[in-house]
Amino acid sequence: MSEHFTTLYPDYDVLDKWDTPSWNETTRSVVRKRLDEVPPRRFFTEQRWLTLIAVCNRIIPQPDRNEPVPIAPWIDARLFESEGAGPRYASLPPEQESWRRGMDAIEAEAQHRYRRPFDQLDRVEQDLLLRSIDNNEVEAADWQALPSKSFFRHVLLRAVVEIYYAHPAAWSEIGFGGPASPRGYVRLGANRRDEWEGAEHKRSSAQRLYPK
Amino acid sequence: MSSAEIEPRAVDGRAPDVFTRGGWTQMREYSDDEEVDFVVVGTGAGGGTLTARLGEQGFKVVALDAGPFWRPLEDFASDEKEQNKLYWLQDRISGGEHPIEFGANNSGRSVGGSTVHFLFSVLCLALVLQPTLQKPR
Repeated sequence: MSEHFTTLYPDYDVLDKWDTPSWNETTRSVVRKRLDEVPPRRFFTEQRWLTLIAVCNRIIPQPDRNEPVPIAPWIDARLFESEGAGPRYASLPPEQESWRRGMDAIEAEAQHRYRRPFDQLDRVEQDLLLRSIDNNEVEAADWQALPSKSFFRHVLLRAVVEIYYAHPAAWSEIGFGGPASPRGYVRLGANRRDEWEGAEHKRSSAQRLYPK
Repeated sequence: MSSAEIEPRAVDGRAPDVFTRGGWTQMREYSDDEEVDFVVVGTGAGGGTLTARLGEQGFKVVALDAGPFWRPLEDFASDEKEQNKLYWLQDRISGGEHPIEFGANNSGRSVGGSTVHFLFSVLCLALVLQPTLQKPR
């Protein structure tokens, strides 16, 4: 969980294409709503909400952003509206109940270990605690009603990542082109690029993830 | 929210023309007290095809679907999260000794079923009667 994400696309902003044929009005209206109408808290209690925000801040830290991508409000909205998540493991309660129990259990684990609320732990403590949850190494009694690893991976992480990467700011930092319709892409071969695609800055050889 | 999510579109002897904005195509419709030969539940790859073939053979067929009847050109944004509306997101359980992890979005809930997700278009069904099962979300 490093704090800083180094984008390979520092000059690319997917919204620069807003008024081009890459976007149509249907898509613009959907994304405009996502940018402008961040929903208020309606599902979580205040304590669970504070815990959730603190968890999101550790899973996807956004220290460099003036306006961080909102994640917790969209999880809250999805649960408030009972949107549903489709299939789930029998070991996990229904989605809304999983989230209630999950936030309570994370808080209980923080109190059990540190005698402080999760959202008031420092980053190192928060990370250690989340790692324990992901390793099924938890001690608070609340986890008896919720398998910690399953909740962390299949419910929590999935939602956080899905919501974060639905935001244009996240698209831009990974060079994602945004709408694939109506214009889409035609130069698909190796080393070919449509002029409306983001172009990455090459890493220096020392930074390559994989050797040549 | 598209009007398809608010009230059934395929009524009054017509169904949405999936290839045009705001367009309609003819649909055979039967009154509630009229006897029909077949009722097909679900209009996905199986039910939709079956309905069409039975209709072509001259049978009286009614097809039911719980999902909206979309017009892709006007109802679909090119956006992953928005397309959640195509999926069957009600609770489904994976259990037993070796529970399988299902994909989160591999079942559709639309006229056209999962093919709407996979093909980004709706099967053109001439004989679909959209029921009152459809609820706004």
